[in-house]
Amino acid sequence: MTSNLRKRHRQEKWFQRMGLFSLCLALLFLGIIFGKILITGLPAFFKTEIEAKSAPQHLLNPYAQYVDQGKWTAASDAVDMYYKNGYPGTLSPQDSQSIEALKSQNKIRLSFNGAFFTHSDSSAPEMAGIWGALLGSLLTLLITFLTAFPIGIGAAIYLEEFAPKNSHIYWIEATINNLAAVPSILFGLLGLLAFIHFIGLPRPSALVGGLTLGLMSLPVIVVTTRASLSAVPFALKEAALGLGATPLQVLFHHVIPSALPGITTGVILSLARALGETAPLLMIGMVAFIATPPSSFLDPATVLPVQIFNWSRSPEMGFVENTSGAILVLLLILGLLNGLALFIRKKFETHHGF
Amino acid sequence: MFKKEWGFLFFIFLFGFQIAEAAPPLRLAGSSAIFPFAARVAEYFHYKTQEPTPLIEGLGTGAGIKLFCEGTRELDGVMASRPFTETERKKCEQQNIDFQEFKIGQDGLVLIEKKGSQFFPIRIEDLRSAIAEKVFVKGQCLKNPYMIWSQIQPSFPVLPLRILGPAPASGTYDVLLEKIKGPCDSLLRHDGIYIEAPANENLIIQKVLTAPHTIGIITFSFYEQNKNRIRALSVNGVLPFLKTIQDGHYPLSRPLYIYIKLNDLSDHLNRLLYMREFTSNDAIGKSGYLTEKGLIPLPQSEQRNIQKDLAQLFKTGGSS
Repeated sequence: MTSNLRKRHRQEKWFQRMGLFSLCLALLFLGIIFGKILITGLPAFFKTEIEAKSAPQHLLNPYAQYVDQGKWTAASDAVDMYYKNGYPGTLSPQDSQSIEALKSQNKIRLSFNGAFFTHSDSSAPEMAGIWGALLGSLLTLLITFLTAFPIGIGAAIYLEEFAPKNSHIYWIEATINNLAAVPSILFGLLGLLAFIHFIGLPRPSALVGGLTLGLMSLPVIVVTTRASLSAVPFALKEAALGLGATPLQVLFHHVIPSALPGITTGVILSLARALGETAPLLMIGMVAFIATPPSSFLDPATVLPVQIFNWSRSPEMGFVENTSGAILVLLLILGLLNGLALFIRKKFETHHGF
Repeated sequence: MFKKEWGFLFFIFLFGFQIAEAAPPLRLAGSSAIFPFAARVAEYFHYKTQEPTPLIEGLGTGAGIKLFCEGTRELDGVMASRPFTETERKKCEQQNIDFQEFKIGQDGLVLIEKKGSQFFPIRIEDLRSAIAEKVFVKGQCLKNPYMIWSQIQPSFPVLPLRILGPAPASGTYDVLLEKIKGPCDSLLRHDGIYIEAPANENLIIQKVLTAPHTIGIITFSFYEQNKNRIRALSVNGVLPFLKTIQDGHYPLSRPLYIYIKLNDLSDHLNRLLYMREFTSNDAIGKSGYLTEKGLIPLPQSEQRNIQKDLAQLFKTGGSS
């Protein structure tokens, strides 16, 4: 009897240990990946600057001769790599000597890379920034929100509250659930066909990107919204109906307020997924070198993940750290969005709560 | 309470839907081997002329040409790492697209390996035996039987064959196929020995660095930027240098082209301005910025001819 009990306790302990081990393993992998990105990406936020007057032209960034960039001017990619890592790359021995000379005169320095946040894409890593891609992501996400949110919520409310329970509706439900699991690149193909070839919208624009991502987010929003609507207890509805409320009043006064935390969480999470999405946007031509930030929904635009993809296949060494730096910014934004979802959930749960 | 939010949304709409006043930028698409050069020229073009920065898309030569020939409005130019094929030319003519070819320089395909691995000189025939799907053995075309380098040449090391290179949609793949063409008409092998890496040469370099005994096939500009980590193999006894590729001694070299649309040229003179920047001495001269990035410039006489062609186009385009 006691030995049996001891055995059962031992089993439980082992089970707990295995769980803890899995958790640690997952954290370890996460730590390695994140650490690697952090180590390669942090130098992107600092760049080498040279006092423009005292340096030979070819040590500065390639465009310094056309635009006055102030007293301290960004050094060329090769100089940047040399100053940060001591790696000579394509520099000649004379060049590295003149850099050493600049160093001793305090005419070369490492400073915060503000241009990384205010510049758009460039073929020179020392001049490239994420501003254009950030703006493109914002415009794209706005279109995604404006299309997916009303249509998704509307469809979910109809299906959950009003739709007759017949075979057609079951078929539609099954299709929506399937669509939520379809690989995102297929939505890219759909977007290419529907919006670009059929309607003829301009090719790499935030409008087309947003509509495509909207299509992609739609099924997820419908599924999560329906889940939170169905979690509202039936007793609540019956009580409201019993007091003489119309079905519409029940819906808007009781069901939706109670389900709101769940709905908002679902919407924010699917928007976060849309923000990090690359594959469908590759299909609709947002993988381009676009150096001018978009000023409207129809302008050529790219988004942050695609910008990262583009940089990752550039030959210059400087783009390696830029790539990781942009990944850090993207992770930060995604983290903030997920935090917001969590916050909304916690805040409203205590007030209406289910 | 809600009014404020609506006002904010309205403001975003105003900001979003304002119509851009500037002329639409030039648009080029095509080979990802030319993409870095075209992007660099686009920026210089912007800084020098104050025109909007052209839009460059690296889709691969085939996809670029397809888009180029879809209509007169779609693209202003296409970057191609091989000339138009006959069918592509016909399709373009059917759409009434008039275009001019500009040879902008040369490029080499470089066989690379990790620095410090065993060096062995390779010949075109060996490369064919290594990556072609069908090879000519004992008087007939057979499915490629080679699995180890030493099976191809007894002097080669006893190492498994493993080669990473371009994928079918790219012009680089077509050129590679053309270069290793033998008695058997075949594609590159599909049995896992030759691994296709779609449009990402950094990936090939990474793989070559991490997996031992892997040979990668990349373009010269990527080799130039990563010389400190990788080494080139000699082909037919010639190593890839600027000079050997330019004078044609290095066997795996190819010309690079840009095709520019000539329809309604008088309204699109910026196409010619862009090409003028591309073929200027600043860009592809002896110490031009593209030359430093790894583009192999044309011989000077050819460059002068192109500049003459451009000047001629300026005259006819400006007057018509």
